Amino acid sequence: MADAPNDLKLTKQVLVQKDKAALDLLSVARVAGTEQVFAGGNTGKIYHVDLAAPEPTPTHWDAHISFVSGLVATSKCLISSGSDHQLVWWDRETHQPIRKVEQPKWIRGLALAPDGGTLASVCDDMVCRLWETETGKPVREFRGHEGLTPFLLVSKLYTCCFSRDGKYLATADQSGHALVWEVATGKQVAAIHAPFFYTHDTNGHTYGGIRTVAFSPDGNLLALGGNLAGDTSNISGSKSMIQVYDWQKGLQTHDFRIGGNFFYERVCFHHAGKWLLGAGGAGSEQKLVFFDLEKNAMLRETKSPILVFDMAMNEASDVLYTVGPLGDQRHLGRGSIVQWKIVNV
Amino acid sequence: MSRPFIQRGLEEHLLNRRAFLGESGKAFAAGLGGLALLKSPVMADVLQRKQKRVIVIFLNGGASQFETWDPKPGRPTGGPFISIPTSVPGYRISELMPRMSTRIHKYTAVIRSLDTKNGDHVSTLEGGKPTTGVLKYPGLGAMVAHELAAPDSQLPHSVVFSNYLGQSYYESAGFLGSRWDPIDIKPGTGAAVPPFTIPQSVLRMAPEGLTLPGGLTDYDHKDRGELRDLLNREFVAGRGRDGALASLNSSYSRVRGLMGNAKLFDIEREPQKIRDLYGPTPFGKQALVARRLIEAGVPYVRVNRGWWDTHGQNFESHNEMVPELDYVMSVLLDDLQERALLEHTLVVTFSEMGRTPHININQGRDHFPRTSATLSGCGIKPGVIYGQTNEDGTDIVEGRVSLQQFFATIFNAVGIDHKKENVSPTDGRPVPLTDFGTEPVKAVLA
Repeated sequence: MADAPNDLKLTKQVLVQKDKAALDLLSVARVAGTEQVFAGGNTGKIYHVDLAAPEPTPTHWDAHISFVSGLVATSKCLISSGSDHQLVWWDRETHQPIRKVEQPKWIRGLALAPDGGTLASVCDDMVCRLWETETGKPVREFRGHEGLTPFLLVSKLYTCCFSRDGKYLATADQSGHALVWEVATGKQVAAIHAPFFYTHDTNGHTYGGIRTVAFSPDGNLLALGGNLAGDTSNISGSKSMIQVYDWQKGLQTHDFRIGGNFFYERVCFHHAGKWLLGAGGAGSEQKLVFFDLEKNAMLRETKSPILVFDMAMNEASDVLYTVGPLGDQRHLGRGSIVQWKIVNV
Repeated sequence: MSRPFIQRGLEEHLLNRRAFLGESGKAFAAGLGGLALLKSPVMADVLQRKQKRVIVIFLNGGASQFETWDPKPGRPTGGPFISIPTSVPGYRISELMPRMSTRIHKYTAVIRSLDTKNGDHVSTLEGGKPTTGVLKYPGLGAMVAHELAAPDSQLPHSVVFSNYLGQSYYESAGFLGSRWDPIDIKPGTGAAVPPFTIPQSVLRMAPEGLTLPGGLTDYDHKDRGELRDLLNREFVAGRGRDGALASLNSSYSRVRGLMGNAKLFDIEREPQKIRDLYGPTPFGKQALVARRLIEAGVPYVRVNRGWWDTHGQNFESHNEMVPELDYVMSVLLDDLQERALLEHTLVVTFSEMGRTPHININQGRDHFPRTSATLSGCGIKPGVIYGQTNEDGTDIVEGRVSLQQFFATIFNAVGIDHKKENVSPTDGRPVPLTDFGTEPVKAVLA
């Protein structure tokens, strides 16, 4: 295969705060065409760093009461979501809020439409909402995910993404259900049940879930990431899992139960669909794992110096930005932003 | 110092047996003699105490105080959840508990400063007493049952659900004797249910063996019991006092009594609307069984919800389990209140420990020997928020409560003198219910 990720070089690593206080970075956004990177922390702060600078110096501001769970950068502003129920539009230069919208529960994540005109948010009330990025005006709601898991406990709507052409939106929940919606009409056009993502252990926990989704560039495939149902997943995670579906036919095309014992927190495709990348981490396992869908095989895996809770990639799929805590299971994490060069040959 | 308590306990015991709690006692109490005795302050106290019950909602594995009763939103240790106001001015709890937030002023005192000393999965249910050594200390359930149970009752003295796999936190009766051991309702291990590959718990809501084997009628069973009693009496004759034989006979009698009370464990006998109210989860069903048992006169029932040992994914687990706790706890308290049972029933909610302020890199919280607990209903001053932790929840800054104090508070709330001494049969030493010098948390007592 051409454009295989034959090498992966760590080019920059930035600790976003000097002191050793615990900090996890949970979300990342990059301003298109630049190396301006924003990262959201579990302290409610948003961190900014220009990785093009010779000595990148992070700055930060207080943005949310609690976890900054999602970030997107439009051409004009930065939009963040929090577990404090807030969706906030920020002036990127002044770090002042432009607009705040309150949601009923924890907002788990955001996705920016390819044209930048709309934004999708997913909330633990199991509703995905579409917003105008310019005005903050609500456009549409996508309702269809069950509020309870099969074990009758509250479920969560973890993730969403747009197709490359902006026509479709995918959402996925804790119970292993992914739904595909037609953005223009709000109509649900496909439902995938991927039950192996739904974890129930012998102690009565029912978590797990599909933590990340991504459309292939041609829009035909939908990749789902998380981990396999297991027994000790509340301690160290059970087997990492990515499944890929031809969502229009309702057929599973790939099932990768490799990588380690952690959640895949983010999956993304090469811009031309040459490979699929999954990233995550738990305990001492923290990895970037590339897959070749044509060969149905893992291409390479690279140990990351940090757990990866989110990642962003440039337009050419040759620079990657990952965020998460630096550390291991015995120590407190130190929030870090890592820049990688992907050598596609 | 201790002698008066022994004497008082003996006096109560004799009066109980003779006057009130057996079938003959009921007749006696209904007569003139009973009325006369009721004028006795000691007897009034005993009668009042015997009506008291305790339900423990035990959150095994160690629930997080940050995600329940002592949130620290906006602090580095706070986690993702915000806090919400409660019906007690100035006091906020986790957003995951909206139902309890409106009920605290009516039912509940919160202790935010419970110091469990030990941050491990040892059984807090023994009050932090050593689990090794010659003297085997009784658990909370046995101590409560020993004080509150009617001695001649055919009901179980205490019932404990350990309805999740993992550590079951059995409460032994220790030196009080096996007669005071709880009836432990354990889960079984079933087959994996596809697509899951792990065995699933077989949840039980009643002890095993409550029904007679096929072919054995109730009449036959009673008949065999009478024959056994006759043989036992002849066997015991001339052998003086034999505690083991007496205990064995008592056990047979209790089993027979338990079989007669099988319906108490059968929630199908509840109206559908009540079953719907408690909800479909095993935890909700346990709570409904607990209410039925309490209503029938069982002095101590412990329901369990586990597993809160969230070294990883702490927030996902609490996001799932705390709303269930909030729901089941509030439904149980409302139901007890509506049935006029709450004034006689103390509902205690706690864990063996709390969870660390620091969030580890697996989004987990580890073991921490400081936590929060609640006391609702009988003997409690509702709306009291006792104790305080610092702004990051890393330590207690006001009103530290030891496990022994916590137990003393439980005892006092249901009219048990926490200084009462029981005598260890192994060496005859008097053992107080709580350590010498322990005082209850008077601020939370009505």
